[in-house]
Amino acid sequence: MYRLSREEYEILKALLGRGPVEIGDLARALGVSIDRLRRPLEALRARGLVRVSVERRERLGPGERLRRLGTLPEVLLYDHLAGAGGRARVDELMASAPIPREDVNPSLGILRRLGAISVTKREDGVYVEVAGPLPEDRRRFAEDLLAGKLDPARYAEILREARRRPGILEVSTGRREVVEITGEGARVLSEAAAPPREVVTALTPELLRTGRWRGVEFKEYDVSMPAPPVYGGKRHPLHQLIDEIREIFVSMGFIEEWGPLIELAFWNFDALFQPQDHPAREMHDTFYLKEPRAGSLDGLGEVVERVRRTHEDGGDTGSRGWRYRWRLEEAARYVLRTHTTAVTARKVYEYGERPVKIFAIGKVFRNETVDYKHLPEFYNVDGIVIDPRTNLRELLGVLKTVFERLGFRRVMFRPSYFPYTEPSVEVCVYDERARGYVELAGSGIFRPEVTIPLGVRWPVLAWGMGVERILMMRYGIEDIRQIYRNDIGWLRRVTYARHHA
Amino acid sequence: MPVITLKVDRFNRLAGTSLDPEELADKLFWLGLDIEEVGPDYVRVEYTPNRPDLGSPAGVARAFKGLYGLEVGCPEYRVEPARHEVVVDPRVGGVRPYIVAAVVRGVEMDEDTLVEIINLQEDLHHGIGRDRRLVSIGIHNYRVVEFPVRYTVVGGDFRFLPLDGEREMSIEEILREHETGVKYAHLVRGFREYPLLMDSGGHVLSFPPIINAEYTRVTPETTDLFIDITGLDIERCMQALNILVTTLAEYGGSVEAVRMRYPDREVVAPRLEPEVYRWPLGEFVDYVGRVIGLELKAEEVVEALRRCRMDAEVEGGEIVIKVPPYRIDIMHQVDFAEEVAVGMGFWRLTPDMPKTYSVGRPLGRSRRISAVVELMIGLGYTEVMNYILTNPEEQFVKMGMDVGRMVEVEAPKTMTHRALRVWLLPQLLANLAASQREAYPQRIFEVGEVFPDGSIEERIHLAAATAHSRAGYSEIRGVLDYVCSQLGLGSVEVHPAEHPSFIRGRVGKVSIDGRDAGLIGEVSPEVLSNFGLTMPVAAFEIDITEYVKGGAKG
Repeated sequence: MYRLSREEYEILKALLGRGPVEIGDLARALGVSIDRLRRPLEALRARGLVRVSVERRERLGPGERLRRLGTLPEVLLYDHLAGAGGRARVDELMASAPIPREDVNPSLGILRRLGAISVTKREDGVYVEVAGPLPEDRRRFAEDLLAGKLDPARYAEILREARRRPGILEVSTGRREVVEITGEGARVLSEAAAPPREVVTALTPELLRTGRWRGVEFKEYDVSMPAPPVYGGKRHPLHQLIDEIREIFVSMGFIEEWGPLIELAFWNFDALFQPQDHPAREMHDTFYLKEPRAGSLDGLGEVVERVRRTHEDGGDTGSRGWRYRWRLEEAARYVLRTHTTAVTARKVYEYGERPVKIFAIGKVFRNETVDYKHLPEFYNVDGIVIDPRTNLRELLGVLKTVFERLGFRRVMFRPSYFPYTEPSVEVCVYDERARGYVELAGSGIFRPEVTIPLGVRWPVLAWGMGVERILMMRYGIEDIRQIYRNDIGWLRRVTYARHHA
Repeated sequence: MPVITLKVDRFNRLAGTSLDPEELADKLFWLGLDIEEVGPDYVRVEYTPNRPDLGSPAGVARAFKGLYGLEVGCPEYRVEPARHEVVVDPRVGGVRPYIVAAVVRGVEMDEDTLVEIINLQEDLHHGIGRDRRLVSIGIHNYRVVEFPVRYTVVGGDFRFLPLDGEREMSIEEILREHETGVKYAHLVRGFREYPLLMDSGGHVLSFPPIINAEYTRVTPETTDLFIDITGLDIERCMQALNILVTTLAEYGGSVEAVRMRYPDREVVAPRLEPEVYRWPLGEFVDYVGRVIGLELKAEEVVEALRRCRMDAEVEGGEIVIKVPPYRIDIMHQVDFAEEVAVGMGFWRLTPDMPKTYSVGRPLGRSRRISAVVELMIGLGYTEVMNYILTNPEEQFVKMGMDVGRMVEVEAPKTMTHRALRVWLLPQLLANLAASQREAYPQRIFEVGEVFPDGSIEERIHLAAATAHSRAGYSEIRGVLDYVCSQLGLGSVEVHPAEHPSFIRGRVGKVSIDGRDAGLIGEVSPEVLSNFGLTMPVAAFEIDITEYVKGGAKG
């Protein structure tokens, strides 16, 4: 429904039930100038709420004689007669009356017709005498006419006479605009809940304090116009994904654990049954610290010896071992951890044979040449389940759930190899963009050569995965370096919280 | 990890199949091969380093036939008795002590086969051989070799015509000038005598582990081969020999043993009889079933192992498993559990969920870092995440400071990533510098690990920077005070200080409850211009390790 402005509302209200109203009258009635009415009237007319018509018509004003006398001559004559005792001879009256001589006889004629006087003929002359009251409209006529608010309908008879009498009326013809409310206008007005109010551009503390806001209307905006961009602070997309992954594991009953970035080779490699000449341990793959080169394994006690024996001949794990001479100095070297499996290895040792589910998220490092798919550091997530009755199918169950929660609907598992798991399973998910399966996680059951020296004969499910790769798939990022460029434009515009449901 | 190319036509011939590349790729997936590329007439796959026997199309076909039931059980390889000898000079003990050898006759050789054999040789060098250090392989034209062959040592001036050489060269020249010689020279660095393999006619076969002689060059017409494998580890040498000769047998070759006469003993190689394992049947089946998570029958276990090209038989109450000589990855009973899972078909394993009841929880550390991040975001700051590995130039020099102590790594491949960061602010400035076309104000922060003063003790810092035309001290000070009070870190005071990274008189040391916690100030114009920044920056950086670890009050 059309919403009336305050002015439009007032106009319609003034017109309601009145028929055509002259625009000047309307302006006067509303106490505004005609100019202020033009715009709202046009708006109302355009919507068919009022009809505006222009007519040419006579305008009546006071004539020169009336203006001079201040009222009609017969009024003055009547009052004069009444003041002179209510009776007078016409010839005397003619001389004393406060009106021009030529007006006396016509005035007497009018007064007589109105029954205000009576006329008596005697031998000494003609006498007039007050016979009744003078009708009030005779008096008001001049007042109204002089005030410019004469209602012609009310004074029809007087006007008829006046037209014939000189100097009473000034008759001119003029343009007249009249406004009339339409049926639609009346309907709209009746439906307008409350009178609209003063329009302001801004709500100010002053309006609020004084309570004046109750009487104002707010200027309308074009709300379809765009505004200057605004950028809020937010989490880095990688951090968002890490939080999401953390939430998934926690919801599945996993406890989060932490381990150091600078790690002993012992936990990063040896405890995981990676032989000391394994290519992954070489300097071109792993970052070794220059200074300090190595830490101490002294505090670890006999686990070190058990790991040594397992590497050399299998120890009491039932394995053949790698059959080489294991060196303590190599295991004591400091590395930047190459996987968060270093954390889970520590936790297998710390928790021992207790049913538990653990995960760890953190930075890991590889001595890589930086390019669009390789970085020297990235985030890893590792998890383990220690349980006397767990098995390969349960490993697949955990991983399928995790990747489904991350939004990958198709998850496949294929046999693979890692030095520290057996069986080993590669987790592949379907990438909608690449239209093919990609590997997202390595997993398996920790080899007995890993767990037995750490004090656990139960099966330990284990897996590890990179985080950036998932982020790249989710956002369609082609170049992994983009993630760490911290280009503020990208951070501002990249979609927030692109979580899977 | 090693990659091989399978030409589909050729593979179909080897395996007796008629698959197209897509079908082949789908089936190879379940063998544990990673499909690198599916071409119009080839498939490229990556195999895992524990299975060098998959390093040739013939080896893949052998495993493939088993898994899909075309040919199951342990392949048998006949070895003809030794007719030839290699005489080992005691002096090789000091340089490269071990050699094993074999003769393979009647290989169906062509261009493709030759390429495949050479690729396998290279993969064996790289994997088992650890880039030829532990094991190196020479493959020779058997027909030109006069037995017995001598494995001996020579001086650096000894000359022969190396493979792909244009002229006779001395050993020293080869190590200095020949492409392969230069590449592997480090393996014999410091030697006074060099290992050499020479036949009875005085012809050089090879100079291990560097290069063969041109004299015994193998061509697509060579069907009879003599193979020598030298190294530092006799077991690895035997493994490499087994894989190589069993693969050649798949190409139609018949294997003949060679006798190595060491000064103190004789070794006859290769030995291709399967390795035999025995377990009580019920115990074994139960064990495998528990690992996989299925109730298995003995027949299923036997069938699965046979599909993995092992022999498995039930004898009395025992299961007897014979493992082919090329399977060098079997170390433990658990390895058979994996074989059963693979042989049954991984696609048949249905996921299950662990029954372990447990209550999950995040680290307090993660929650507290999250709280810091949340507060900064609430202030309109955007989080950045930078590398922990940086370099002293960015950390100190660009910041107008003298180079200080850092934890450095050895042999970094990229010099910009060679030391652990000591503070975060330099990277924040680099981030701002890289984003100068973006609208201002720009406000960023990072919470991250740093390693100050060359210490390996990990610290957690919070750094924040605001950049815009009117960025200044009081704005960033308000942020510092707010965050510290919200985290309940303690009472914050800032004491006037001097620091080359900041404007004099507009920098202070932050102290929290009287302990030094960091710096706050307006970054100096010199530092800004070092980063190419043309916008004022105010920043702070504080150590929040105790809070993050949960040790702070609040």
